Amino acid sequence: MEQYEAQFFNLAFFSYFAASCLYISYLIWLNNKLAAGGLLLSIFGLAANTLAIVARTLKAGHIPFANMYEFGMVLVWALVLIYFLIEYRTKRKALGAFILPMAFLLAGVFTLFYQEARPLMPALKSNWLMIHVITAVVAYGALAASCAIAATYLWKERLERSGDDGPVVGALPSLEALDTIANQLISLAVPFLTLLILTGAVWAEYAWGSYWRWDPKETWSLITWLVYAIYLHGRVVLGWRGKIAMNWAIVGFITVLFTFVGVNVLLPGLHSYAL
Amino acid sequence: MAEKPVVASKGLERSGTLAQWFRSFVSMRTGISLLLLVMAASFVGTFIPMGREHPLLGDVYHTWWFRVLLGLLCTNIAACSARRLPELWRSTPKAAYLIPNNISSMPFYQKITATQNVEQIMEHYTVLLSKLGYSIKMIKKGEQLGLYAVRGRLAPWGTLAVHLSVLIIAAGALYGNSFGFSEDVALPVGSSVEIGGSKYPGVSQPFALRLSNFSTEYYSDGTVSDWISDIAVDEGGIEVLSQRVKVNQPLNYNGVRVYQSSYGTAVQTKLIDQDGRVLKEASVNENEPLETDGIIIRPVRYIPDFNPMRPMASSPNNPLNPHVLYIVYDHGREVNWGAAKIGESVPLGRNRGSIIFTAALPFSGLQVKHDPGVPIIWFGFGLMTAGFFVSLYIRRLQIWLKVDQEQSGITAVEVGGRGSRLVFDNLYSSLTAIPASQDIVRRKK
Repeated sequence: MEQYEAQFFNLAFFSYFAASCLYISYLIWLNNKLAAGGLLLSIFGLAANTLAIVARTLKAGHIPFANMYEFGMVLVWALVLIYFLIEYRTKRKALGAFILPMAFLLAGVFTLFYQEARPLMPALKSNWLMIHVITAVVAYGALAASCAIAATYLWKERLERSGDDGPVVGALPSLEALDTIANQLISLAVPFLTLLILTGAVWAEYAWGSYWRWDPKETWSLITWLVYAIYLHGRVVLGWRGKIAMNWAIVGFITVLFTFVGVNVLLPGLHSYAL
Repeated sequence: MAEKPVVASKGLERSGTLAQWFRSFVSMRTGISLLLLVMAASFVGTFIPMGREHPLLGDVYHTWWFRVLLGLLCTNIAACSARRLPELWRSTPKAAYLIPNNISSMPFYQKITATQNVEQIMEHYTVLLSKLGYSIKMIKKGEQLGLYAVRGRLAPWGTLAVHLSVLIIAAGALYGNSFGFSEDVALPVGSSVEIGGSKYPGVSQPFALRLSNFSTEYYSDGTVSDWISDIAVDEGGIEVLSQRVKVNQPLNYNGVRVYQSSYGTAVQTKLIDQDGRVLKEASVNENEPLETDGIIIRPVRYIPDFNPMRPMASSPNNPLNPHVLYIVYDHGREVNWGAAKIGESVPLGRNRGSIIFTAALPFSGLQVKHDPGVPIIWFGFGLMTAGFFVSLYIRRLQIWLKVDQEQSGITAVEVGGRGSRLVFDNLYSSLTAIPASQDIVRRKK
């Protein structure tokens, strides 16, 4: 089974792509069968994704948390799972047209960084790896979903402003509900985002002798955290709702992506093995 | 705008503006601006390569202005938290015991009329809301009649904890930087370094760290599995502790930690003049320069098993034919390079004498550190995590009820809710339907 790990993930990638297409067609034609097909393909993709994670674990001999590709496939897995939760809770299948493409795009990005499974390098041989990466999966998964929901909000808001009140607009949750869902996802993510930085700091203290040394990865994780800190204050103190809050949620996820992918590629530092 | 009284003295006015200035400084808006500034500065800092200081910005994170920024942020957080504390301390703010004037503009608001009397209505809502887990306080003040119900009162405490934790972490970092030390030591196998004296604050009993062995472990595919330093701690010449130090396994001795941070080879280098006199002798780490009178010798790399056909390739740790690759510079110009066998003298030409690399010893790059701030920081981390979960996973929900007995048997009920419109919307039917008088459940006395 191990030798098929890359194929399993490719299968997941294509399933997510096909599911995205079906969900988007559902948004256009509002045919329930299309949405059902989208859900079915997403479930199939998640199963393939799960197999890819298991196969990778068997091949590498450790949980697949050691580089960007390995983390990426777990992140996409979590994002699709979060989507199922959202669809189940809101009963709105149209959101799949926004979240599944996000899963498919992320899966595509991480496929580009494919690496052969290798044994763990000295810095990663620690129990902190597990907890550090699990917090990252929860935080980044929820933030990716919040970004997709925020994009949905902005799109729907534009449609409504242009006077469109057709069935497509009706298939999506109300603007207020979208704002609430995005905010709930961010509220879910922020404690984990915090824990992600703190576990990283504790680990760095044991492995590198310093809990904080302004390494690019550390600094960018702080920047991400500050973006969401500003978001939370904006919401409570300045009463941010709707467009401004949603724009901020999108900016937040862009900083997440930069922290996670951009820093590895563009800014060398202690964390560079993660590439 | 109200006119200022003419009698106000200049001094008072000045203190007035100062107070005003201070009040606006400790506002949350200022706090948000400071967060933005710290974010922007951090952002700029990551694009200046580490170790290479920008002439203007320097190493952003250690400049005075960045520290001032962090100091201002901490001051703002402290002031904002202090302002909120009294209100939090009274577990429910006094204002909650009054029905707010703006009840009709709350996120959730409904006005209903009922035929039941005031007592029955109060009874109904008390039972309903206590079942939903709210704690309830009757409001009876003058004309006002109603109740205040609240759930998730812990949430604001979580928010306070997060803010305090930032201050605690900052204090821990400051304390650690002021009363600790951190030093990188390249220790060749067999040698030791003395830790003690004024250079090492917090070390009461001096001791020596001795590297008894250094080795590298490999996986079967040839990648590195671990760097291992066998370190002994000597106190007064007597070994008191011996431990293996690996990347994720530092040594801890009386609050001093020793970390595995790098490794390499130290080359014993001897520079001899034409008459055979030793000009300079030193242990030089790979790729580091040894300088005398304008001549620089750089032992680039130690090769345990040198093969002239493939000079850069070498099997690890097997000193069959040990050589050192070197470069010689004369006043900044590269004049000579090559591979010298360990123990053999190599003439440098042009009256420059010769060099001998007498030995090559593996060294372990260790970081020796004492940071008394770490326990404080860990405490701050714990508080921050707990605070965030309480603050964001518990929601404070507040409901006010305003009951007005109107003419002949009609009672007007206003329900206002703050905290989450979604939650209240889901409760809509139970919050707005008042059962017939005989169906109102009586509270257990």
